[in-house]
Amino acid sequence: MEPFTIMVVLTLLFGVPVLDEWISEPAPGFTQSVSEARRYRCQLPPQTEAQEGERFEERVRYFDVLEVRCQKDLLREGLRLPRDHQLLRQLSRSSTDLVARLVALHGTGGTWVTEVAGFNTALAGKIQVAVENALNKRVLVNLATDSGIVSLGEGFLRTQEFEERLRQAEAFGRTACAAADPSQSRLMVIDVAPYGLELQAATCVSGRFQWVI
Amino acid sequence: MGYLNAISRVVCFCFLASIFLGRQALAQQSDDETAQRARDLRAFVASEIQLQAMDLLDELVFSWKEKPPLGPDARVLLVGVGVPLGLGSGLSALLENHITTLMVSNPGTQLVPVHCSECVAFTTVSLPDRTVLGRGYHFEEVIQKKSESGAVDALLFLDFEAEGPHLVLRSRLVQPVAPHAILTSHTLSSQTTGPAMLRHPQRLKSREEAREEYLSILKDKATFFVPLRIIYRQYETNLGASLGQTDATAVLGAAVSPFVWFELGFESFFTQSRRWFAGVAVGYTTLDQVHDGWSFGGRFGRLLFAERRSLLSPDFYAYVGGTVVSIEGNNALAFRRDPLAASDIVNDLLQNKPKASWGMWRLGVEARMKDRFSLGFALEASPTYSDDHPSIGTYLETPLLDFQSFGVEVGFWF
Repeated sequence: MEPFTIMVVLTLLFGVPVLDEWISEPAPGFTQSVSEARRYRCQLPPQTEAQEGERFEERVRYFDVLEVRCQKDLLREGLRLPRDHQLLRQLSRSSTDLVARLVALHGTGGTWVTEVAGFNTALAGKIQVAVENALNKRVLVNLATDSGIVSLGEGFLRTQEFEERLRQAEAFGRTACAAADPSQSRLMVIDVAPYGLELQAATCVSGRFQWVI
Repeated sequence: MGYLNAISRVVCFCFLASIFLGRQALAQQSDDETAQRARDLRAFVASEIQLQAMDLLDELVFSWKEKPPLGPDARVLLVGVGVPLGLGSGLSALLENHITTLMVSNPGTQLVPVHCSECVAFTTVSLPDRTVLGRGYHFEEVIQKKSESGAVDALLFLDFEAEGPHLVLRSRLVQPVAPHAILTSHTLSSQTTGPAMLRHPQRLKSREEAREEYLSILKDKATFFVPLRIIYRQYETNLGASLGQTDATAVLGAAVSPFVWFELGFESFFTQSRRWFAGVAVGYTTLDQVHDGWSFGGRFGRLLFAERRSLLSPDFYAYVGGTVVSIEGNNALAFRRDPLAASDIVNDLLQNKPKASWGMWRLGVEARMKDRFSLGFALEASPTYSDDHPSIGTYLETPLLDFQSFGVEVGFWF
């Protein structure tokens, strides 16, 4: 065989494996766009973790032996609104964080009614279920649920300013708190942030309104 | 060979250009194509989510079976299954059927699923200050009536949501009457359950047991394998062409009979996913009074169409390999450059048998069934015989290699 032919054969022999690994590279670049790469969640695996049977796509570099484990989002961006998608992506964590903040303020125990106010009632329903389950699991001996989804009106939409929306949310919350049954402890999640992913919430205990910070 | 090099360069250029242009074309696709891709993706994702959702329901019912959440024979009404935002309600109906099947098949949960058509039917109630449209369970009167008559002890709410790469199931058993206290709740994530187990509804297992079983299937084979292959190998003959030559300098070719090889080898996979493998093998062939021979070779292959070995369907591998072959006997005459060379004839007379040795590349595909049995096909190229050999012809000519033989193989794994 001629030198060029040998070169091509060697390139195929050693290049194909590299190309194959390159294709499964989670980073944006030659094989995938930035938006496709955003669907990945990657992490370095702990050394002690068992390797077999993990539901991960593995990427092992040849020379520096760096293994990164990546998982793709179940749903591609675009099937739901961008903020909804991002908020739902971390719903478990943010609802657990919210409950941790609530515990810091009011301790464990008691009976709570959860109410979620937002522009998207379907999303509010998801938030309500997540928060109630987090409450029931973590701290409270008894949790009452009520038909607690409130659809916020167009007034909130007139401004994109977060502080302005927060002021409106506080006015809404204080009014709702004043009208609520004073014997109930009420957790109000008010989802008005135009861009942020943190859940804003307040409590209404004995008619007293208080932000959960 | 100059034109072959040129063809090779053009092919390489076309290959790279097609990749580049393909990506450009993808970037410029129309909105309609994007919408179609979204629909295809939605269908694809739903099928995957469906398996994960069923797995989470299995896990939920198993936990109820281990620790019944309510008193004995509690009547439970399933009032809703929420599916991830962005997906259709068809999934909801499927999951409702699955959870009902699981509850009926597992009386150990001590939950009795009940049906209440007026509780789940859409109902409109007109009040002095407003008119409300909702399912029956939204209205206190409907549920209270059922509860008082003892027909319903608890309402079951299920909600699935796709949180990044994980599917999360949140379940709640709620008191049917005010204040609707949550009696018990569970949050399960596919992050903690591992791959879909597709457990039998009447033989539910814990997550740990299912995972152990799954790993035992993966681990039941050693990392190293000893394959025994039977290979039928046939060479293209050039005998007719040689006989037809009128040139006085033409040499007379010899006939080649097919070979049956027995190969015993040693193979290993590089990773647990078994995407890549490499192996070596020694072979032996014999045909009474025609040939005896041995071979030594290796192969290097990769799993096709999948990232990891399947537990359910055959795995396809593509491989490249090299083999050195040496045979002796009358068949060896065909593999000589000049079958009637005087020096070779003298050697044959002295050694009593003609001999020939050569090397070859192998490109093949192989289907493996659970590391027990394999079927394969390979094309083989011997550079020694790439030109106008008097006996060995060419099946397939390519710019890089000319393939003179093919092999069909059956493998058994130990």
